Amino acid sequence: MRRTGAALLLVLLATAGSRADTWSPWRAHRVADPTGRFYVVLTKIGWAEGFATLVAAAPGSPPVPAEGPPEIREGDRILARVWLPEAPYGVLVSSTGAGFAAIDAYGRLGGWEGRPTRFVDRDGETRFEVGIADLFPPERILLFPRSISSTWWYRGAWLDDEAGLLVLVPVDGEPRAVSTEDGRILDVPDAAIARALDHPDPAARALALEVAILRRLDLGAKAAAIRADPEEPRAVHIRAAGLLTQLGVPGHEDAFLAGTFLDDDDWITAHLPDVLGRRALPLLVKALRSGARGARLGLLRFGRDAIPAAEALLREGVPAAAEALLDLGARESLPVLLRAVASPDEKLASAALRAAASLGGADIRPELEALLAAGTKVDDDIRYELDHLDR
Amino acid sequence: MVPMGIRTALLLFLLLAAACAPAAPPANAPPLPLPPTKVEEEAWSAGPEGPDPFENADANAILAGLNDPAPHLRYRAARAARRRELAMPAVLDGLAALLADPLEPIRQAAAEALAEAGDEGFARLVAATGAPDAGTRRAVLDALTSSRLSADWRPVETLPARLREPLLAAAEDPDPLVRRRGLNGLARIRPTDDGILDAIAAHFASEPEEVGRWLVGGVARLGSLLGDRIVPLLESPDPVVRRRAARIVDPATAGYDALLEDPDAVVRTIAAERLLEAERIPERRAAEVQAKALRDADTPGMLREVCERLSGLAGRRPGDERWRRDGADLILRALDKAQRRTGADATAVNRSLLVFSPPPRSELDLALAVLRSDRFFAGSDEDSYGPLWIAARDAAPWVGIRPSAGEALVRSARAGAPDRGAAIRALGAAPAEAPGARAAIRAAFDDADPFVRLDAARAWVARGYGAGMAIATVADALRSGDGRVRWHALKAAADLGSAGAAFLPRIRRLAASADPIEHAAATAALRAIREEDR
Repeated sequence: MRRTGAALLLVLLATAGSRADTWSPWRAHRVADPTGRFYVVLTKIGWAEGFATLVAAAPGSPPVPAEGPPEIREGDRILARVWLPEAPYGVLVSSTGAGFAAIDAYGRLGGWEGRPTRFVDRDGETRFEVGIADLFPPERILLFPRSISSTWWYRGAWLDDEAGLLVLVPVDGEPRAVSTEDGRILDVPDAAIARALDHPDPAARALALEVAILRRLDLGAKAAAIRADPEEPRAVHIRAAGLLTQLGVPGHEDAFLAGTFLDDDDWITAHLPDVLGRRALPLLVKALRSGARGARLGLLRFGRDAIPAAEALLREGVPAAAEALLDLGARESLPVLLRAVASPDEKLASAALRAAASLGGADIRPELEALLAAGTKVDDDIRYELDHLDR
Repeated sequence: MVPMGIRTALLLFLLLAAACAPAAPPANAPPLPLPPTKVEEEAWSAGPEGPDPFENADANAILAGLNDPAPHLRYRAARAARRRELAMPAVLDGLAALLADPLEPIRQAAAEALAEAGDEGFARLVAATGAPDAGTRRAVLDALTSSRLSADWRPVETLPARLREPLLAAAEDPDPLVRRRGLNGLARIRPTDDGILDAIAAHFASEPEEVGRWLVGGVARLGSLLGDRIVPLLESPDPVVRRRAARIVDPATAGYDALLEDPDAVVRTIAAERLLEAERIPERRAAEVQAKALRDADTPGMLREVCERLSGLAGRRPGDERWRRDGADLILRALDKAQRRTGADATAVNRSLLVFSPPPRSELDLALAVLRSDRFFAGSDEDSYGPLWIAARDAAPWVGIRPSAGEALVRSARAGAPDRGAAIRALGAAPAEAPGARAAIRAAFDDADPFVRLDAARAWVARGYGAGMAIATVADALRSGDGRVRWHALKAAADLGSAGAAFLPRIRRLAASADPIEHAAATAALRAIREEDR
């Protein structure tokens, strides 16, 4: 399976039209580096603009918690203070005190006209400003999910202090890096991914493992070390198990599959095919049957090969199978979908009707008229679709 | 509760301290005390929705705020002073002191408050034009040239001499950003004396790009006041100066058309844009010049310049059908090529592609962007995706308008491509015939997938290529053991109209099916064939 598949899945979300969204007022707060030796206090004026103050913890003082109220501890040293015209969506602080990265803009993520992502050094100088148009080609940007306010491109990031890189991971998985020295935009070498598996921030380790899985990197030794560490958070453990399973190392598949049905982590289910290849198909069918998040995206990775399995699920009465057939553009499944419209299960009938109407258009008018004449649980919906088939 | 006497004494102390404060802190002053206290942070964090600490405060409290160590209180106090139009000398002195604040937003707030505080405030601003810090001078020039002058562009002789002189001085400032403000300020007051106009024209020709590019708007506003001062710059040996001049000089000026053949690609794009805007050349000609400029732009900087002009061109004609048909596609294809030439890091090209695809960021753009991407046509069996069918469907109406839409559909209809059936259906439904469509559809008759063969049959008929080839495919599919294939064959038979009469016995048998879906499809096909027959 090629890693480009991940990007393609997002077309589904993007073509579904722009979602409405709301943002809470931005809150002043504090963000520390993973070691707790440096931190940034973000204060605000107005809705979402303000100052960012980079602070060094006093030598010998206890580490600063990762997040907290916007306070500077007594005795700590202020290194720089800068005005941020837009509140950042996220902040990453260098563990060497080199500076901090402000990621994108809160309230309007991924605005392609601006360059809100920046790195501010310890002297308060902005080393670079970039926007998503600098990082990704347009066809890739247009595949990111969108809402009224934002383009949801951002999955996560880390600062690679050793190489002087800000590594930005988009939702389609293939990262870009920006040099914190001179603002050059670079592809991320495999070595940087390997290095990130030792990053002090567990979120960075989890992200790097995701990239490693998508790139099929041979980082088994590092992944095994992570698996052997009982202190590692669950998300990191599961991803390390996924990488080891992908590499064919026995004994880790169960640990990876344990993450398949987690409500708060649908990445695992959506990427089962990257780890297990074709063996993922029955698992995804099972996940779709149980309504697990990410199952539709995972099934899509198999393309049209997944159509027979989705049809079987539809006959079984699983409404999500109708949605999966629609995602797959399975026009050949129209007779199967139309039969499901006659189901006494209203949820199934409704899902099948929506999928059939989108895939079949005016072609299915005679069948819908026949179904209406015979009577179904979704007669009102059929009348609506009949009025709109020729749009 | 603080006793009233103590509070009064505190205010008096603050007033006295403010009155004794120097106009600006010395250059080596220690950093302002940081950080704000927690209480201050809460007020700070409240934002405009929360209580403004100076909303009902008296002048003394505002004055105290101007000198407060907490930056957010200084900022808000300066805003309050402006809002309340306070002109007490102590407040004006406090604002003047903030002109040297280390924080830019506070300097700006103070300068704007002074600019609106009558003659006394204005005098303090003018006095600060000689401040040692360039940041202070910039904030002051901003306030002088925007607040004071934007409402009425009076001839310079009607302005106080004290403003004319600071602007002239700023035009010669060592700091380029101050110079830029000074020159634009001079331009905004529409001077009529030759000395100032000559100075502006000289700077326009000689300033480095970091200043010069920002003078274009200001100088353009001078219009006929400049006379012929800029026209000779069209022949400057320096292409950067020619670019500036091309933006200013009236495109009706004799010889302006020759810029379309300028050796510099950016000059040509500017000339094409302005001549098109003045309706002196047609869309097609402008598009050809722009596309050639894109091909010729051989450095990243040049490409960026050309793309910046393109973005403006697209933005001014968002709904123009003629432009889209005659020009935009040509440029879009040139941008596509430029992107391939320069790689994914060609930011300027990427931005132009995003801006230039009308209508911006629609579902159609998504569809075309998907179709344009070579990643989707890599030919690997491992490539798997679903929603190309949506892209193909949405691209169909654009065949005949944008060549890229037809090219992409033909490319994705090739044998072995995933979702090739969707592309073939789109080629059949398109309002115009895409080059290569007929061959692509014909080739699909031999596809291994029966659904793709039926898609080909229906597209063939829809395009009016005749029923002959379709009949054999449909007849074969009607005999299939797979009910799904038979259902699609019935749809294709209905498309054939009277030519489908050959299948009537078979379709009648299917109409007797117990399966209501097959029965409905067969009945509809019979009706279509017979109606066509009548």
